[in-house]
Amino acid sequence: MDIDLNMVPGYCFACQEGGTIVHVNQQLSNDLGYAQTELAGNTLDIFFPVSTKIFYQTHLFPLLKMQGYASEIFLHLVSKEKSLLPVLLNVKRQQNNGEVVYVFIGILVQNRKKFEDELIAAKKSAENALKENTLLSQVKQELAQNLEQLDQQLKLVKKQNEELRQFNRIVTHDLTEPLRKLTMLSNMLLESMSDKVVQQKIIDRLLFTSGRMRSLVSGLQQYIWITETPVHLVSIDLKKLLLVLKQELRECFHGVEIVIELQTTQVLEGDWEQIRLLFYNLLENSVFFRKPEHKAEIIISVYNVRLNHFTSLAGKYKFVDFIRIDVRDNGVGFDPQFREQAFELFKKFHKEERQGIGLSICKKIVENHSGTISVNSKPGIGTTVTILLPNALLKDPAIHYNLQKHE
Amino acid sequence: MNDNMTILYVDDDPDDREMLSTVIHSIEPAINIVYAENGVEALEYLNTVVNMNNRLPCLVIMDINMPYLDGKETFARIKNDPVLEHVSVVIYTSSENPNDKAFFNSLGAEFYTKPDNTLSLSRIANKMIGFCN
Repeated sequence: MDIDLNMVPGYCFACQEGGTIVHVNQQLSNDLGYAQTELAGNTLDIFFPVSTKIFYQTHLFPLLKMQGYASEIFLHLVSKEKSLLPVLLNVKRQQNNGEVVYVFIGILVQNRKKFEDELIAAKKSAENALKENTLLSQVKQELAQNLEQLDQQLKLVKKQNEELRQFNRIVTHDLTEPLRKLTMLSNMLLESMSDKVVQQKIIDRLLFTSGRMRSLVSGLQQYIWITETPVHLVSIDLKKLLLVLKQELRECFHGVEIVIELQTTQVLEGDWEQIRLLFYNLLENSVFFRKPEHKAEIIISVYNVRLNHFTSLAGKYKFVDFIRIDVRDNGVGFDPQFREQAFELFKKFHKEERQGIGLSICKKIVENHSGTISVNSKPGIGTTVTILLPNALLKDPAIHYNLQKHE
Repeated sequence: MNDNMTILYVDDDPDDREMLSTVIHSIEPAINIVYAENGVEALEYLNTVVNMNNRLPCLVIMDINMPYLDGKETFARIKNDPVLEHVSVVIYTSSENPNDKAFFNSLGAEFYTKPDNTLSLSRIANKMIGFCN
């Protein structure tokens, strides 16, 4: 069946080589606001706006001349009322009775611009979202690193506050107390000039008190030395270290049977001098506080464990490898409700005249190695000190940071 | 009714225990002084006295810095106990921290800083004996 071009739901027009219109279908003439008769015989210029005229002369017409057709050409037509009609056209050169005719067929694409804009906007927003997503991932990563550092810093602040509190107690009490006592004993000595027995007793107390004060100051100096000394990590063979320490302890505690059992062959990473001091203090405590008439038995076990590296921030997790060291003895022990106080400077749980600084030094050394220390005890059964040291100290940036602050 | 002849003295320092006790005895020889070295021992003693239906001491002299239970915690436990709360407690410490003094004064406890001369020691001992008359 032949279809009348006037019935086509689109535009159809034809022109000669020179641009003279030979046909315009009903739909196009209606949309342009011209009668079909008005357009026939006229040139294309009647409904080509300036931009289309230029495009036709410089691009479209040469293209048609060259290849005989053009597809999906977007241009504007202008109506009699001067409104612009965006159209999408296909053009083909035809021969009609020996004469060249260009046939245009097209559709009105009023919404094309809108759709294109929307597509561009959608593309742009997709690109932005991707960019933001990448940025977000970066920010998230940075945040995670910062959180880790924050956790370490919070730990440090807590530790320093606790130290300040302890130093305050030492200055206001532990150091003031022997000074006051020395003054008091000197006054008493002056008042008892005639009684030689009383005098000797007071002099003995004076010497004892000044000795005690010297011992306090020396303990404090040792503690400050550990606080300020940089940590130099080396590999430490625990077995060799314990052999040396056992010999030192035997010289200190003549006649006391000391049994040290090491249940590992693991090599530790730490500062040699500090780790030596740590184990010396722990073992010395165990031997000193042995049960009367008993040999001092100490068992040291080492395990690998995985624990959360975050200790100050709640709800944050990063599991890292730790080395857990248990130092267990069969000594007199103490009431476990006071185990938190055990690591405080100059805190003593026994009546013996000791400085009460050993465990504070142990705590400081373990903290210098980014670890933690705790103690559990049962009176009459014994005491277990547990140390947790992060494995691979140097590989962890947060730990590295913590170590660097000592350098 | 308290035991007017017994004082509980809580202090971990043997020198202070000896010096203050000597002066108290030189002023009032009839007074019996019971010693505790920290808050735990003090509470144990006071609870034993209560359980045996004996009379509580006329005074508890207490140091602040002591191992296990310090003076603040021990004082709080005494004052929170419906039976022990009536016993008089004075603080005898080397602390010169104004916060410590303010803390105990606000709770109605007398606060004596350990002296560095015998005259002040006698004056403090006299005030303490005053609680038992």
